[in-house]
Amino acid sequence: MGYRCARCKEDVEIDEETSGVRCPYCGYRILLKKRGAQPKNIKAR
Amino acid sequence: MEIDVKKKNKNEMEIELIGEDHTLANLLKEELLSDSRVQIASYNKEHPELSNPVLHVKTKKEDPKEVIDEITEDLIKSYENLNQEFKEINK
Amino acid sequence: MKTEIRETSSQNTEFLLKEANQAKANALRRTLISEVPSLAIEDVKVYENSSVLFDEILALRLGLIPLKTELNEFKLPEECQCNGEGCSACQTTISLGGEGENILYSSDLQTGEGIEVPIKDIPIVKLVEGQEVILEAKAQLGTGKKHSKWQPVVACSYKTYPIQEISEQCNQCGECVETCPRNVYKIEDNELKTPNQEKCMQCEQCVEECPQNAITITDDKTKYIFTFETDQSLTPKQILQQGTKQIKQKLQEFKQKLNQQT
Repeated sequence: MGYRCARCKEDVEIDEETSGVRCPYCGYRILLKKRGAQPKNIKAR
Repeated sequence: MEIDVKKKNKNEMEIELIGEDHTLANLLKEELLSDSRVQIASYNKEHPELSNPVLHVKTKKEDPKEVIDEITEDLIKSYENLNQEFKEINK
Repeated sequence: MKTEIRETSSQNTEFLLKEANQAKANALRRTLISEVPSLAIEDVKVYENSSVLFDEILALRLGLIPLKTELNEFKLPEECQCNGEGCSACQTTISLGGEGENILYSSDLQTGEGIEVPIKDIPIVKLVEGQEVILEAKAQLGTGKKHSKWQPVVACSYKTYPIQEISEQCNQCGECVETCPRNVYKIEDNELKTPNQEKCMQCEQCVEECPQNAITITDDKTKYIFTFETDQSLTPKQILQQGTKQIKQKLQEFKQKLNQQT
């Protein structure tokens, strides 16, 4: 799962094995989920 | 557009205008009211979203279908004239 | 029914509807607003959007951008041979891409052959350094009934034709000339005239101010002064031609069904 640290803006990987929500570079605990790879289809309404 | 003739007697007719709204119903109703052969002309729409307008026509003695047919033809000619005049705008 | 064009340009029009009644005028107004089709973006495929706007907001803004419409080049999706699946007869592709620091405008839309964006300075989204938008969209014909983005007219309305009746009690005192907010009245050759009769908004200030009670405001119920502005997807002439054609077709279909079923 691709995430991004909210403070140092580095890419962080979290999977089933990672324990805890924590940036490995700066220790910040708020991670933002990256946009998915699939293009998103929406109605212009 | 589909129609459903709900009632047809010698002098009276009720027609449901399926898929239509006040644009057509009011137009027909007013034109019918200006015809001297018509005793009653009205339309009813029970729900703004979930129902269709129902046109109700009662004539004095003529066949209501004939009267409706004739006034519709008059309206067609009226809008055709207007369409022709708009074609002549030069912009 | 007849018409008399008062003024018309590529965007606005004011005309008189003659030999009509309120129902005919209203049927025309309603048709122009909700049944004359125009082209607008409907489906948006977002590949990348790191702007401050949500994808859906960006898509709504795209949908509202007027696109110049050639009515005989496209079919409504419901009436297309592809049954609305989407083909070259009922839709056209438009794409948009850009990155900060930049403001993306309607002129930045990449359109297909023959498709034009008439208003070029509509800002779509502001991007700063690091933000990017990449999307692909499909534009289709639709009607105002489905969504207001497809409404080709803006402020379409009509008013009754005003008549100022001046009785013999008038002594040309000029009170009405002064008080009228629309300058309808004028005294010329010792007579009260109405050079701007059609500008009257029937406020009846003149009726109130007249010391002789000489003025009555009434209207001609067979004439209507119509006015509207377009969003430039269609010209006023195209809109009026299409609108009257559609009402005629609707009536013809009704007549046909009536004869089939009785």
